[in-house]
Amino acid sequence: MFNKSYIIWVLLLLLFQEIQAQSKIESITIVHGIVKNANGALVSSCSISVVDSSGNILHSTISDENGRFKINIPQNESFLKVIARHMSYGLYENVINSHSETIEIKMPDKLFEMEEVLVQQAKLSQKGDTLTYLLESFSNQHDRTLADVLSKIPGIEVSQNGQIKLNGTPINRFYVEGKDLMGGRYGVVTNSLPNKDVQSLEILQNHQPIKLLEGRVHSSSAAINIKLKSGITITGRGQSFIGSNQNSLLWQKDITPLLFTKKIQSLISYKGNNTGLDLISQFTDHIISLDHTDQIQTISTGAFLNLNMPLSPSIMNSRFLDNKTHVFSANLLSAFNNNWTTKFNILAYSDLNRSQSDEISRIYFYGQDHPDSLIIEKALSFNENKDLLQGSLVLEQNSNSQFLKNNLNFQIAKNQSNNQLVLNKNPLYGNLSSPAFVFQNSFSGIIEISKQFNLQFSSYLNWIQDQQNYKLKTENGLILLDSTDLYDDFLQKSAINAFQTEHTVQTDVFLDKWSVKPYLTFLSSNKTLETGLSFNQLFPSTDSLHHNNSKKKDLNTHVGIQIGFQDSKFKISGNLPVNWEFTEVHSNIKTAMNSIDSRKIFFNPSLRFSYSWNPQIEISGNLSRKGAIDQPDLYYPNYILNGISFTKQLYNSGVRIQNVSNTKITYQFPENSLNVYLTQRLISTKKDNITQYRLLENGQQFLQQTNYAHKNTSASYRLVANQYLNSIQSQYTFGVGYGISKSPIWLQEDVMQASLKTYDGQLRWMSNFDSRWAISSNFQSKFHHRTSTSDVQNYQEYHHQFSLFYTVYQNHNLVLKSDFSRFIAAELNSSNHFLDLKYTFAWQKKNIDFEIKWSNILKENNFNSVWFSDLMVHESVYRLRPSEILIGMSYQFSSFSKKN
Amino acid sequence: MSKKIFQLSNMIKILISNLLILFFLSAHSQNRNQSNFEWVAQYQISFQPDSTNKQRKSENMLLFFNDLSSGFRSVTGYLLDSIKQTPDYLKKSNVERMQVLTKYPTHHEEYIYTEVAKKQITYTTQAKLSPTIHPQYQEHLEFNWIHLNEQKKINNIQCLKAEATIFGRKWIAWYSKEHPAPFGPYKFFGLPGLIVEIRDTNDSYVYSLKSLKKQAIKYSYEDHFTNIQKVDKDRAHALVNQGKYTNVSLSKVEGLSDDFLIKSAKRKEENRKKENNPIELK
Repeated sequence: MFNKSYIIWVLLLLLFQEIQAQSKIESITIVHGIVKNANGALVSSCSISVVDSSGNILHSTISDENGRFKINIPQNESFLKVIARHMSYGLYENVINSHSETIEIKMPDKLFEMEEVLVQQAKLSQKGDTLTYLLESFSNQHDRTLADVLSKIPGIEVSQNGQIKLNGTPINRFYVEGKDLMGGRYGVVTNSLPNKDVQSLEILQNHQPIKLLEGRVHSSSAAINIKLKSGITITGRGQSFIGSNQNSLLWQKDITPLLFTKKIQSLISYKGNNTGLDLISQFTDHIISLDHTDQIQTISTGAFLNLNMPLSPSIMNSRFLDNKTHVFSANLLSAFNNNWTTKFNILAYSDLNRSQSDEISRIYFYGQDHPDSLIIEKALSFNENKDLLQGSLVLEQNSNSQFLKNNLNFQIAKNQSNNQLVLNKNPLYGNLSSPAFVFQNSFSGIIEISKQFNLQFSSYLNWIQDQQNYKLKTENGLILLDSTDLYDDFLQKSAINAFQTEHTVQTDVFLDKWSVKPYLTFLSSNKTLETGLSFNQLFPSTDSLHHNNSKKKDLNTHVGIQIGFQDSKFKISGNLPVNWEFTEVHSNIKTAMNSIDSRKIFFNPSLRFSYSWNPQIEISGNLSRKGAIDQPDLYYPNYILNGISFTKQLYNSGVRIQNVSNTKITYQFPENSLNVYLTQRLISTKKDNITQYRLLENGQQFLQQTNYAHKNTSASYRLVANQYLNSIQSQYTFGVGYGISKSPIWLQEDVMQASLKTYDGQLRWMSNFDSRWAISSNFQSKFHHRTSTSDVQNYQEYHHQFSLFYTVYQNHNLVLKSDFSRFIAAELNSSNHFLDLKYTFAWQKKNIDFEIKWSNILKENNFNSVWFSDLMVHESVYRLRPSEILIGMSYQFSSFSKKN
Repeated sequence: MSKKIFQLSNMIKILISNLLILFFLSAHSQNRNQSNFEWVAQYQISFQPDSTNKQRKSENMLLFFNDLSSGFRSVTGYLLDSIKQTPDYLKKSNVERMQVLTKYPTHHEEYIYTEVAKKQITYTTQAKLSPTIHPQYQEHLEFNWIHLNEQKKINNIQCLKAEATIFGRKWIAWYSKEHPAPFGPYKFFGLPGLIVEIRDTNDSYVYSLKSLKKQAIKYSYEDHFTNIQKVDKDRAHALVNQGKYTNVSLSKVEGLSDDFLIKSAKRKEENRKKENNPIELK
């Protein structure tokens, strides 16, 4: 009985399960079938989807090799549609019954080809230490050159003279397509290279330019590499403008073709204007080599004797520069292969500058025997014409096993300047001319002896011949030297001959993460100075108090060792040199001492370090102590006339010891385009000699070096943060700084302690709103607090530059620029406001812009400012460029080639 | 009798010639599938090789396809394949060839050939043994894509979302039905349109479409890979890892110091620890 009922129950259960299963099967819709084309041929690899009434895909599959497919739809739908897609056919759509069925799909013929896709490159990408910015993502329709876009790249700052810094540190190389055509004179490239021809800007962080030292010798600075758009071989830019202001006819013209191929790069440039555009800064060398691999530098000549000239105001150069400038530059780089390059650069310019200012300077005295203050009034007109011809020839091998470089450089300079100075109602007329010749050669090499051992050597020589003639005429006379006699006419001549050499041998030993580098350096310097002063056409004998004929000889030997350690996070290198210094001065003038020398030994250790917590945060810095014989560069025991001052440099035995500490913390987060850095710089200098100033009521100064042990200190701190916000295409920069310096000043018979504190802040904002609007705004403020034993002075300055770019209609653009400056001091409260307007019609087809520029619309004629020098507080009124209009065109050209 | 023999020999000749034609057609047909592609898509892969370190690497990859099949290869690998066939390269010494190879580093040595109708993958890779071999395996894949009917625009392309769980990861794919090619990067296929972006839910591996161009390309692994060894999937991975993480490739190189070999082994072992996040976890 039990067995029977058990069997019945089991059968009932099985029946129930079967019914359940049947009902489940009925809730699944199975669509299966075959796919054929119009000719009946089977179609495989066809994508078949079943969609509901809302168009939602319920399921999809691919037809097999026989064109067959099967789709299970796991729910009942009242509406089902089959859609079939295939690359080689048109779209098939058909509504089917909402139950299982077999269908035959007939694919229609293809009507359209699939669309091609090109996704734009990301604005920023990072690969190792290289950050790549897509340039066009940061530019707007008003930008024409690389320089226009450069400062919009996160972390990049461009100073007014064109120097590029990354997070506050100057770049160490500027490459185009990996080649360094212009060296430190990259300003002409950034100002001449059309931004539309640039694909991307690469920031090569911690860039080591010498391949052999890559990964072995840490570099704390970055390089920039410009990648051109594919196929660009010839590019460049030119412009031509004419116009006028109330005084003169204006002109501005330039043309700069650039050639970039795999083996040859070339830049030829002519630029000229009298419109206040500073061309010389575009050709300024912004890269200074800190090691022995290339010691060539632009040497300033014609600067021993100086005329009084107005100090340039702290506004844009184009507001005040009264110039007439012609610059020509030719540059050629030829790469023989991946390792060998030769480079030829030549620069010639003629630069005439005029400036005018009225200046009131106050000196506050300390002590009972003097009046409270002395006021010196100057009305100054200054003209200067600088002619320069400079050339260099560089041959370089930069391979993975060897580095060789020879840089031959010459420089011929001719300066002619004159001024008209009314000093406390005493008119003076100065005229200064100075031809100078400089020849330099730097030869250096690094040879890999083995993977662990390099041999380095360098040899540098420098020859300078620098002559100056200075004529000064006065109407009321100047007091000559220590007498009370007045003389009207002066003629001061000077001739400097200098020959300097430096030779270094160094070995690099690499032991895993450690490096040891012993080295030996010899420096020698021979300088002769001949001067002669005549007055009222009297020519005193050459042995008198008015002549110098001196020689200064320096011999230095540095023996030291650098010890370094580096891993992926921590890098440190210490330099332990012992310097033996010998200085000898000799005078052929009987009235001065004949010969004296001194020998000293100094231990000058220094330390560099950097530590990266992660790729975003790094702390780096250096500490150094440097001792040297405290001697001026030239020795002249008798007075010379310089400007309106009489100066002499005596030989005073003493030493100078300087301690420097720099620290920098960088937070860099490229994915958020956020860069923050904090810098600290402390300098303390102990010196045994000081410059003693003696001032006369007529404004004359007498200066000489005097024994007086003292200490100068300075400290500065700066915090800068900038972020690019992609969503609103804007970059914000915020910066604050604080600086303090303390030094004694020897004025008349007393020594005063003076200190200057400066607080500054900056807020910069640049935004490309849309295709029509763009804005740039830069606000800076500074607060100065100067104290000395005799006075306390405060002054504040505010500057705001604002630019609005607006496309009025299609290719018609307007640019409105506003500059505002304000100075607030106890006795001066002045402000200047400038407004400029530019209209451009862009003929895009031909890459030509027709422009009308109207500058200084508000007709500001003078710039009022307050500034401090060591001794004085100055109020100055500087003559500015008048309102003026320029009309002309600028054009860009480029040539594409499929094969470079 | 002789007539019959003659007829029979003719029949055999015809049969053989027909068989030969059939064989060549078949070979040609296979060769067409393997070699002739009409479209080229470029993807960027961004991946995190070390699950304990957020640092990512990226590389550009090529997907070539026609209406039946696709091939997937790194850009670097594709360029090297061409360079290796140039007379200039063939003239070079082994050391010079090594210098060329080091200029084209890739994290992805494999070539993946997909026959979508068969749902079959042929995976050929490189094991740097001594000598270098090319392990190859075949794999039948069912993705079971789940359509989520979400839409979004990626780089101006209207995309639909689908999900699949495979290789030990959950994958989110965005595909374009306007581009009716059922292909995608790596081994992914079977959606009603070209995959524009695919990533796993941990973002360890992200493939993004960078370009799609109609361009005829001939490519087959037989032309570029020598010493192919057909093995199973596990064996292929074991051989690749042996080449990557041991000194086996240096076993026949003479003149290497013990110090070098110890350092090399140590570095490779460190690499093994760092490369702990493969695309296929299962």
